[in-house]
Amino acid sequence: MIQMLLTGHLWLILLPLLAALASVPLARSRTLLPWGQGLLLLGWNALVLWLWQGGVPDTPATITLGASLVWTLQTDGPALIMALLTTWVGTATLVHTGLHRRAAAMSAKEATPAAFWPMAWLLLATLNVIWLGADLLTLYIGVEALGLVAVAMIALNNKTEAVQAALRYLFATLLGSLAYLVGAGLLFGHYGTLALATLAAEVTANGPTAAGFGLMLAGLALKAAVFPLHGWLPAAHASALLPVSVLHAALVIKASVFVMLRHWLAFAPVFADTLLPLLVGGLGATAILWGSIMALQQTRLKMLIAWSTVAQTGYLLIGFPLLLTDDAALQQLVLQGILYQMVAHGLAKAALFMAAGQLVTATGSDRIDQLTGTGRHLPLTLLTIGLAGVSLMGMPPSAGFVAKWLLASGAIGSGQVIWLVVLLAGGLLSATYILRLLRQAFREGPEQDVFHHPSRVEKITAFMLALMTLLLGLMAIPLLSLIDLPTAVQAGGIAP
Amino acid sequence: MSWTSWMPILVLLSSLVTALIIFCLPENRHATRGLLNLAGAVIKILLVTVMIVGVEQGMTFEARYTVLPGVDFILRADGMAMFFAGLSSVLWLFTTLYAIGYLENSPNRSRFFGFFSLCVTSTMGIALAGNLFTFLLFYELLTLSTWPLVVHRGTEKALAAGRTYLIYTLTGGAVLLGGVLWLYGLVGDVEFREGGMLRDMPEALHGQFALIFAVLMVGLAVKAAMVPLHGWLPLAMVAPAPVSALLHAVAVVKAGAFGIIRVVYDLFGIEFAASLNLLWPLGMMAAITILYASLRALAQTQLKRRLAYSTISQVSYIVLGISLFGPVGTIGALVHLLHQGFMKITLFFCAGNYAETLGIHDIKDLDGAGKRMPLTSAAFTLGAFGMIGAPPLAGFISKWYLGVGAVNAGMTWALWVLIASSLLNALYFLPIVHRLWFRPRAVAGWPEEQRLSQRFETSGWLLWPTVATALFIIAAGVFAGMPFSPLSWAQLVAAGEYL
Repeated sequence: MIQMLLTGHLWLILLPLLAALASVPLARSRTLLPWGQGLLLLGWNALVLWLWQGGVPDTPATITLGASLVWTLQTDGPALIMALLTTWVGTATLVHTGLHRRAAAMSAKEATPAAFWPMAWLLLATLNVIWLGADLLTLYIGVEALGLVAVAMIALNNKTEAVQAALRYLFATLLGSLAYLVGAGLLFGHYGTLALATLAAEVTANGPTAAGFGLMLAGLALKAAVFPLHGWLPAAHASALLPVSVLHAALVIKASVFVMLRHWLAFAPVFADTLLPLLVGGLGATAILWGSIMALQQTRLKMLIAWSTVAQTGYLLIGFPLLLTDDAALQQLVLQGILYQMVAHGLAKAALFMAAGQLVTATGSDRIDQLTGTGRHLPLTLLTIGLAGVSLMGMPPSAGFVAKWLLASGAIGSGQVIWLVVLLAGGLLSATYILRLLRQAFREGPEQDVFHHPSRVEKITAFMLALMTLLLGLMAIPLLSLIDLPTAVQAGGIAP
Repeated sequence: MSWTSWMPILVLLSSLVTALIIFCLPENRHATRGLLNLAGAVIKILLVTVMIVGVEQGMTFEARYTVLPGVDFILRADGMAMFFAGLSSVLWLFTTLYAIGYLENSPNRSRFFGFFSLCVTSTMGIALAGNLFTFLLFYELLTLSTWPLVVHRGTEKALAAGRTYLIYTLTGGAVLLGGVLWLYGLVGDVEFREGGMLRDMPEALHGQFALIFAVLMVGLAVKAAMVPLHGWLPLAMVAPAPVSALLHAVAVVKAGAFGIIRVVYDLFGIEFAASLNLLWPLGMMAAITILYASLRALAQTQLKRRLAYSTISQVSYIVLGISLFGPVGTIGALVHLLHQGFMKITLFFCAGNYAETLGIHDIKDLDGAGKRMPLTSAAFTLGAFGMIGAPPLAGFISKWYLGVGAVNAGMTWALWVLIASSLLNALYFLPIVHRLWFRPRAVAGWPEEQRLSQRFETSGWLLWPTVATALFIIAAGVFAGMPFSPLSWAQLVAAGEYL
């Protein structure tokens, strides 16, 4: 514990918690808020960069609560990658929300509610708990707390549809957590431990394990809006306040999938011969198809983006069956692919939502037709949409392409060509709805009136996120090297 | 990094930086934008020239870094790369000049020239790519950067054409990606090398190699507009004339053809590909494309559409040459890559001049245009005769080598295809030439005449690039024997491909 405080990894959780506390008084003062938040963000970024430089530590930190109740926190490669993503998206969101001149000039009615600030930091802290959690108890606490904070944040928008969407989401997240808790209880009853590493070593295929694992997966799938449990998502994302949509689509959804991934790596290998891998992959494929079709039908920008999230979550699930291979090199490759897809989607989706928010600010409407003619006033915003779109389509050069390449290499290496076809076809499907957006920007039509110009800081923040998807597509090694690479992969090529 | 590894990067940056600055420029800074464009184009030509001289003396220009575990990003200037890079850099300069004149007083020029430069960056990347991964990267970037140019006018027709373009090219790109992934899964990262690298792989993989070859060819054939994957090209004619010119002469169709060259010669190796029996199906597809597209060209009444079908047919000459096993066929294919570029860009410039100056889009309106626009019409005539293969023009050289190559390879049917297609070329080009010079002008006058210049037949920006590329058609034929001519460079490259 002390050592972890010294090495700094516990600060990943403590710093956002302290920031949440500090934000309560800060948010009362319009003038102090940007400075205070800026300072907190600077400290947080410095911390994470320092940890990134330090690499992955070997030993987990444990906090013993009782005989068998132990909190285990471990910063392994995947955790560090997700912590980086959280920092990037979190920083961009907070800067985009309040650290610019337009925010200072807003009336009390327009401005983001004061409660947003502590809640956002609380959300970021719980996210880091989930990335670092290495036992079922920590993960449960993280998942439950995250759900509640997320519901409260969606309800921040004082509109009827937002409150209704928040209630639906509350129901989904509570049910999901409950299923997770029951599943965890079953596993604890059978194995007598909650630590994931121990469970992974001892697990065998039997009734209680199947039931516990199944319940946990189903509960998390509901929270992650995995098809067909996605019903609550589009309304929630489309009606929430903009920064809340950003955080939710880019990070909160990922958290549930990430916990699924942790459990999958521990438990799924003993169920590799059942229909489970095919089921999960199949749901992913259906999600890509259905999400893309629905996205194509939408007339509102935010709804299109929300449906795209449903489709993109499907890509993550495609990776799950590919993880169940005996070849360690291939497994690493797929794991890298899944995490890279999380990063790529997180950055691109955040950029896309922010750009959408700027268009709403500018034209006062979030209809897709409204894009016609905005290109001349907001070229940088449209460029942001374009770059983020390229990554979502999985076209090179972008982080989305790298993720697709890694996943597809895994599919080919393990001979599961069906998932390769799904990946390639999925890219084309996402192209249909992304290009529908971009087509509008090229259509010649009457010019739109621009009421308010988004501030320069807003435009640049969103653009930086989109630019990161591009840069991470050209330089994948800095992030990927956080996940141990077997020498065979480093040497080049996967042996046949 | 030594200066030699900076060279290929600088070549890319010379247009990439131009693109980025242009995107940021306000719409009304026309002079600055034009100057930037020209400076970028000239710098690029200088850099490419240095590299051509260097490569000729046996120097290597290579830049690489690892993008992904086991996958490198490689830019390398070898003989083959310089072939395509030389063509692109020279034609970019002319097309930029032309585009500045063509788009005068039209909106969204920042956007146009930004994507235009991005498109050239991708083309240079395709030329310099040192492995399939890098090639794929720029191949897809080319799709993305040409789409805004195709839909530039923003009309419903342009948007529909852009949509068809994307359906074809994105699907082709996905197929290509599948093939590339398959190959990487089998043998890892394989670089492009003279004579190919796959030959040395275990025999057990050869069956899969043949299938991978087929998949890669389908992916590349979409951009090379080979029948039946050619449907996007005639529709893409709605784009502004400089875009059509670039699309047809350098960027898109040539990217496909160049990809086929790379895969056949530098990945599989021509001898290995021949031993796997992969060449004759490719040759058959090329022959079908040549004849079918020439027949379709005959039926077109619009000038640009006729030229589009002519492109489909002419690009497959390159593919036909590749499939002829033997150095002479290779020389024919390579040299046609360049010659066709100069001839086709001239023809499209001419079509643009007629459309801008006289409002002519249909072939029937061209009667008597030779007297009104003598220089443009002369350039058109040169291009047309070059396409037919009349000596001493560029087209004759390539057809001669292709024909001799066919006979040497023992594929006499290919010779008949060439003869038949030359006849068809004459049938669809000569009537246009006849209309230009020997028919009287229509009584009703030109459809929509504009006086773009007091002294010349049309604006100088439009006229001089056309004349310059037309002169290249003569020069490439007459001076074919000189060092650094396309022909002697093709001979140099071809010598390296056969052991």
